[in-house]
Order: sequence, then C-alpha cells, then structure tokens
Amino acid sequence: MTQPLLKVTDLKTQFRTKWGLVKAVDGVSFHVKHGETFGIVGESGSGKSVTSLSIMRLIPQPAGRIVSGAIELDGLNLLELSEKEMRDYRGGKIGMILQDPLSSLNPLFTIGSQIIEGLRIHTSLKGRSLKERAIDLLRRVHIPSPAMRMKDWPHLLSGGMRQRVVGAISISCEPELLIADEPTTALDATIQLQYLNLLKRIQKETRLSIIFVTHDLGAVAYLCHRAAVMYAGRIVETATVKDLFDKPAHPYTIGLLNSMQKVEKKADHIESIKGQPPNLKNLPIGCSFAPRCDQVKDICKEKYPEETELGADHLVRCWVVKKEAVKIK
Amino acid sequence: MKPILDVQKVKKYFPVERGAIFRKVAGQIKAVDNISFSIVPGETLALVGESGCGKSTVGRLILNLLPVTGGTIFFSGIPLEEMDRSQRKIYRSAVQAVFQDPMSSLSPRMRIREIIAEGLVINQSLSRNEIDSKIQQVLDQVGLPQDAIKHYPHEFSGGQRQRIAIARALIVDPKLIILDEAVSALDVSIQAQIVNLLRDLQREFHLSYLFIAHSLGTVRYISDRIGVMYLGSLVEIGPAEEIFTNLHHPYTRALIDAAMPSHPDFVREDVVLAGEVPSALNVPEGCRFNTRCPFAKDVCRQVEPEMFEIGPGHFTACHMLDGAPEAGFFLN
Repeated sequence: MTQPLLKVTDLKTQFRTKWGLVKAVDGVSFHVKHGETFGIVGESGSGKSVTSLSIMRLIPQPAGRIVSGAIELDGLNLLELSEKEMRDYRGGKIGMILQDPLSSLNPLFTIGSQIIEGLRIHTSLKGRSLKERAIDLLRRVHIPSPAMRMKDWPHLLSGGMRQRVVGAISISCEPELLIADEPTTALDATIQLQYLNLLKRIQKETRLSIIFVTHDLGAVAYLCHRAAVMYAGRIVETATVKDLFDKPAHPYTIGLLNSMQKVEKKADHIESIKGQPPNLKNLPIGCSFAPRCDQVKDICKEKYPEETELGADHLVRCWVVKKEAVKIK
Repeated sequence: MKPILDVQKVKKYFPVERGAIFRKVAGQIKAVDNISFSIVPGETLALVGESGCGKSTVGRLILNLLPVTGGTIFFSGIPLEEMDRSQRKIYRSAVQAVFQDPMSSLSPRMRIREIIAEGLVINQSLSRNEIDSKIQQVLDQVGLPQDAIKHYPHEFSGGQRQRIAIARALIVDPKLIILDEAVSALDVSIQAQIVNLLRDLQREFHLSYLFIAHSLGTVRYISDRIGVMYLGSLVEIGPAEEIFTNLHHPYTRALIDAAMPSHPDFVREDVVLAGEVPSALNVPEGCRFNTRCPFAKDVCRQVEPEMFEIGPGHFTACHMLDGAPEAGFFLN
C-alpha cells in the first residue's frame, strides 16, 4: 500500500481561556491519500477548523497550543519544523482557502500583485514570467479577461470571483495539499456549484489532495471521497462517502443524516437530534454525545469509546456499535 | 379562502446619489420590482432566490420597516397606508418577524422576560400576573425551561436563542410570521428541531408563514407554495411540489439543480448555470434572466415576459413556455 500524503496522529490542540482550558481538538487521527478529497464535517465548535489550522500551524499563540500529536506530510512531521521552515510549506506545498474571501485578500493591493507575491516567494519565476503565470492562473479559475482583472482591487469583484482569486493564489505554487475551510459557505447556490466543480477540475488536472472542511453533508456527498465526522473535538466516524451515507454507524452521524432536509423528495417528518451541542468547557466524562444519544448505555457515561473498525476505511467510536460488532464476529 | 396578506404590484427602488454638495440621483437600485402574491391563513409561502434578489426587502416592506415605492400591501383586505392608528396597532401585533441572527435581533442588555414581554406590554394592557402566565405558556410552547426568563441572551446557544425569538413573536397572538432566513445560521441538528417546532406551532395556532430562505431542502419540507425570485422580481410561483416536479422557468431549474445532493448517488456531474447575477442598479432589458439563460432568443432581450398561468395556481414569467427545461439541461 502506498503511503498517504498526510497523516495526522493523536492531534491535541488546546486553548487557555478566562473560563479554563478548552480542548478544541482532542486526539484526532486521520490520513489523506494522494489525489483524494477528504471531508471533515461537523457543527460549529466541533473542532474542524482548529484541526485545519493546526495542520498549517496557524493556531493563535500564546492562547492556543498544539499539545501533542504528529502531522506528517510525506513522512515529515510538520510539528518539528522551525517557523522558518514551516513558512516554505504554507502557500508552497500546502495551500489554503478560507471561508470569507474578502478578509483573506488584502484590500490595499491589486489581485494581480497578491497572486504574484506568493509566486515570488515560493518559485524561482521572475519579471514577465511571473505576470504571465498569474494571468494563466486567473484563466484556470475561469475569471473572464484575466489580463485586465490583474489590475482590479478585491472590492471590485463579486463574492464568487473573489473566492476564485483566493483559489488561484492557493494553487499558484502547485501545492500537494489544499485545505479548503468552508470555501463555499458564503456563496450563493449557483455560484457554490460553479466553485465546487472548479475544485473538482483542478484536482483532476493536478492530482492534488484536498481537505474539505464543511458543515454541509450535501457538499460532502457532492465532492468528497472519504470523510470524517467530528463532534466536540473528536472524530466519531471515518468512512468512504458511500459508506457514510449508506451504512452510517455512529448515532450522531445517523442523526445528522436523518435531520438533513432533502431537496430531492418531500419528507413528511424529519427526525431531529434532541438537546443542544455540548459546551467544550464542560464536557461529560465518557462519550461526549451520550447526553443526546438515544441508545445510551451505562458504559457510555463512564469511558470514552475506543475505536472500532467496521470494514476497510470505516472507523467508528461508539460503545453500542462496538458491542454489536463483537457479537457479529 | 380570503387571503390574509395580499401584495399587489409592489415596488421598492433605492435611489443612488452622487456628488458631495449638490447631490443628485444618479440611478436606482430596483430591489423589488413589481411583485404580486398573496398568503391565505394557515399557509406557508416560501420566497427563494440568491442574495440580492430582493426577498428580504419584500419581508421588510410587509413589516412596514420600509415604505413602498409603488403598489399596495393589503392586510385582511385593508391597504397598509390607509390604516388608522388603531388598525395599525392591531397590524403590528398580527404580523411578527423572526430574523436570521438571533444574537443581533435580541437586545443583549435585556433579560429574556423583558424581551419576550415587550410586545405584550406595548400592545395590550394586561396585569403583571396575566403577563407572567402568558410568558409561562409561550416558553412551554417553544420548549424553553421556565427559569430562562432570568437570563440574558448570551447565555443561550444559537438554537435556544432562536426559540426565544419565536417566543417573542408568538406571545402577541400573530396571524402572520415573517421568517427571514430564520434557520439558516443554525447547526444542522438544530435546524431540524426549529423547523419541526415551526411546523407544530403552525398547526396549533393556524399561523401563516412567509418563509424567506435560500436552502431549498428546508423550503421543500416546510412550504405549501413557493415563489422564486430573480433580481427583484418573481419568475415563477406555484404549489411547492409543482415547483419541484413540474417547473417551467429555466432559473428555477438552475436553482434546484444547484442544490447540494442528499446522497452521493444523486450527484450529477457538470450541471452548471454560467455567469453571475447582474447588478440591480442595471437590470438587463427584456427578461431579467436573459444574460444567463441558455434559451435566450431575441424576444427575451427586448420584451419583458408577463406572468402567465400554466397550471392551477402556478404562474411563470418566461417567453419559452413550451418546452419546460428538464433536470440537468444546463449540461456543459
């Protein structure tokens, strides 16, 4: 079996706050293969964005800290790099797209100069070829009349166009890994579809791996090959997208899928997950989903569940599932 | 059934001014342009469309937060501008709103009791005991604990805050509630809770909803009728299932095709509507959609299409009425 491109092992990221220690990411492990789109799904506060920021080592310090774990890109642990070495990776081998394109573009520079900035730092291109490369990138993300657009300011572009420019910057240095953190949440439906198709096409052309962070299970179904479901700082289930939708095992995943309001068919009634999302400052001992789970057993309230392997690429952390899996064996 | 709300040819233009000293009107943003629809008691009408299509402005016009530029809004048959003081007072109780972001729509300085009771105190003269029992009742109905009244909004999660906003709307016995993206900001698991709550409340109190949203999944689940808006005007309106299964306007098709699938098996490749929504400052001549429509003919660029009834209660404004677009017809 070939080595995965990215391997995250037992990552723990914590924040010190006025109200005590917040374990935003608490022991997360997953891997991303070459040329794969890996989804991280979760609700607000589940730790999905902190996970992606940890990979880039962009956790705001000193409040936040990566406490333990390993993040290996092609076998090299990013957490052991010096800040200077890490800078070569950000924007170089790893590209990033954030949710709000207006705040990730600098309003005081033209979009052309912002694309060229990354190219100048990470590649050996100079002078005219820099500019030509930038125009070519804008063309690849489907921006009409790219040569003219080079001189435009970010505020002159629409939301969808801005996000395309951010996309152009993130792929400018031919990264091996692209982290897209809710890239289409701020976009309209038809523009979102255009953008997701663009990501698909870029991936086909360059064989790059994408980590797609989202709260939208529909977007996962549309774009991803495999996905992890996060709840309260931990991954509760990892599976291929097909398995995740056809054979979900964790009660939270099942609950999420049941509460999806489907566009294909009118439902008479939609089951919702009872209760409220957990407070990270005050998590229950044992399984964090236990207070909302309808299959809860005594052991769920005492110990956090171990990982159970349900099949190839299908991992789940749930005592109820484990018991049944053992029974079948 | 007689409509509770009747919107007739309503327009809302925002003037754009230029010049520092001698300000003059340089153009007009046609946020809402000639829209007509009605809502009967107990019904949910959804308005869908992309950002900037004017759906929220329609809500604000009905709430009387903005004056109309043209046209009339009738409530129980009475035009809004002809209402006298007492009728206006009744209207303000009868029409309530729940907005998208419950953090900015609930005052952070007021306790939940004051927030929920405010409308009641202003609109009706009740004793303290009567108010307390009404608050108790309404907290029960939206599924909040009784001790919530002592707390401030920031102490609650997003879903609970939205329940507070619903309680505030409900306490004055409204007939119509404008739900402006009321569930869009909530987490998936909470969204279903709130949508189910809204459905239960509607059945119990025979409420009418104007459900303004962009998420078609939610819209299909909750609405009886759907109006599709594009660039300030309605392009198609009709019974909800008709809109999903027997639609006519190419834009409706594009919008439904752009919705994310609920299962990987439903993924269709390369179904894309090209281009972006033009500026409302500069609405295209003829049909508004002609710049993005793959069907556009000369007539579409010259003549604005009229609303035409193509089925019972199902209207659409398109010159290409024969030949409804099928799923996936925007194939690149």
